Amino acid sequence: MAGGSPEGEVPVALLRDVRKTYGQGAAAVHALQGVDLKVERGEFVAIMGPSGSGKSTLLHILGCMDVPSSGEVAIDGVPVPRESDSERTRLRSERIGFVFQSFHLLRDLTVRENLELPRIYLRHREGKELPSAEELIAKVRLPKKLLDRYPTQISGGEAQRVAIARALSNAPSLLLGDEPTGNLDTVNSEAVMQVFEHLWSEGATIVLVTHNPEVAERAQRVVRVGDGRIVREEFHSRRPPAEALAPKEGSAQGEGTP
Amino acid sequence: MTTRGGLALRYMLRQKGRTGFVVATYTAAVAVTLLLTSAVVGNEESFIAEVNNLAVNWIYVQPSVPYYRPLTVGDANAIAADVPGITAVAPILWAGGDFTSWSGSGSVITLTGTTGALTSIFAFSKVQGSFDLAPPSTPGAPIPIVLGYQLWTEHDLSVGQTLPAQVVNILPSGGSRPVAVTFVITGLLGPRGTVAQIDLDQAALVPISTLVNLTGQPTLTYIFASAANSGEVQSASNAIDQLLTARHNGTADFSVQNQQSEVQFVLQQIGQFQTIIQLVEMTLLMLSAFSIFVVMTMAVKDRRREIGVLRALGAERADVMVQFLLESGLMSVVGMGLGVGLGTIAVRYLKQTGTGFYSALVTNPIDLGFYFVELLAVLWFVGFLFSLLPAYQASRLEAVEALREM
Repeated sequence: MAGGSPEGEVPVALLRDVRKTYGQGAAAVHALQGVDLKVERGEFVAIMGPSGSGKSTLLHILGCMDVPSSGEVAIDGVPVPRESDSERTRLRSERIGFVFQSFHLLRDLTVRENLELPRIYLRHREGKELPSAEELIAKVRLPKKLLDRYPTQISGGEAQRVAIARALSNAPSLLLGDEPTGNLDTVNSEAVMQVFEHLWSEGATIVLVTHNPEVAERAQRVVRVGDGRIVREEFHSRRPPAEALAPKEGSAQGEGTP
Repeated sequence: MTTRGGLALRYMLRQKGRTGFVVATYTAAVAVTLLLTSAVVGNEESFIAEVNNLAVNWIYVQPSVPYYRPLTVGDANAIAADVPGITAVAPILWAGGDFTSWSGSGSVITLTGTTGALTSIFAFSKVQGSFDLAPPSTPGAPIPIVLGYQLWTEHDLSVGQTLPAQVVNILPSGGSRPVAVTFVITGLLGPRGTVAQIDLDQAALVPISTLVNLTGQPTLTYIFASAANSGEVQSASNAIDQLLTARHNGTADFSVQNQQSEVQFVLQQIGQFQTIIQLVEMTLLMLSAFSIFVVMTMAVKDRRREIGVLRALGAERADVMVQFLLESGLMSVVGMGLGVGLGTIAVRYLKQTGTGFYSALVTNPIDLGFYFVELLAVLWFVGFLFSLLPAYQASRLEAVEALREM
């Protein structure tokens, strides 16, 4: 079991002996082969590994988008059921925010509508105070004027920050990113990483899958995956840099023309 | 606030071509069906009203072959004398009357040779004069004539006035034989309108025996009779049939119709028309359903990534299914709304510009009542059914797989 746990606190994510196999018999592919992972509240974890190492499968299982063939998964101490797609979806809706490499904003909706989209499916708020679209856009350091634009009218860097804001709209316990800087240039990658660091500084729990060592360098912990196993963990024992702690609403960095 | 309905609307508007296709088929289906239904319902009511308004418990005897005249005044008298339940019998002989003095330019109308009984059978109101249509007592004396409302009001005529005219009888050989006569107006009828496509306000009634003599035609065009009550119409019709068959030496060279059989006939005709309409409706229904099925199937295929995103953001399978059903429902509702609008405009236009069949069209869809509601409900429901499979397929997509394909 990796990761330290403050006494008595329930980890945000807990995986025990998780295995995932695709296919059967000779054609079987063992994507995960007994992974144990604990993500504590407020942690910033980067998962690295070569293509086919199982890191995306691990992320999907963490995000309740896929189920392990065996093993146990719990989010916020709630076991993730293997059988019930509905319950898994509910867990995802209430406790997880997802950021994709390709942003996946819905092009027919404005930025504001994209930010509000996850709430359509949020059935139990459990007393959570959900941030408004204005608060969300400020959190990712974008100007409010973008709220009424369509995804095709903003730059890639802005789109990814909107996608991060959308992932935050249900006030998730766990923010997951699948190569969130994979489709961005250096400048926009930096802007996006600053947003992640800022969110981390505010107490968010973040798990990113990345190929990029510079991105992984910004995390508190790096989990290296190979052949479906966790092969090594590195602890950076760092906190977010000071500049990330101060929100910069409407930062020009990373804003481009559509 | 973003809603499922708003989302459905956005997708509907984005896919203009496909949405247009579905909306157009629904619009056409509803508009055409509305037009046909409006015609059937309107004309059914109109036809039945005409049949019932024609006369009082009427029975009608006509030759079974056009232009062949087997009926005689003797047949009419026999019906009056021998058929139980008959209260009035009116023999009818039509001939042309040329009233040159009326307008200066000549005016040919149809003279109806009959008896005074016709005014009671046709339930005319009597404005002034006598209506027994007794033949003139002396040869060459003016012939009594009773005029319909439009004739006497248009020409400003009154009782006692004499009218020089020619009776124009079309001969079997094809020629005509005009006979100069003088009519004297003995009675003026009240307004009755056009019933069963007969303009009763143009009636010009003269004594049957006189018209038979003038035209040299011993046979009749029709015989009209009236039963004492509706319960006796059918039995009296049967009795007339038997009586005339016997009088015609067993030859059924005539047919007997009555108010009830005519209503049945009208209903039967309308029933056949309705069957054709139902076939048309069914075809349009299947076209609409097919269009929505094809469009929704294509939408699911094209929007796998979006479905994956929605699932990743917390949409359950049921949410995805509802989303697609909302879209198809919205398209069909818009199509049906436009169809009702277009159909109503078309019906109103045809009613305004057309006559006869078109004048009876029902212009307000609400007046079509249950039939119309049923039509819309069936159309919507079939669209819903045909959307279920694509919507279900969309809901079965796994988020990971849908997103991985991109």
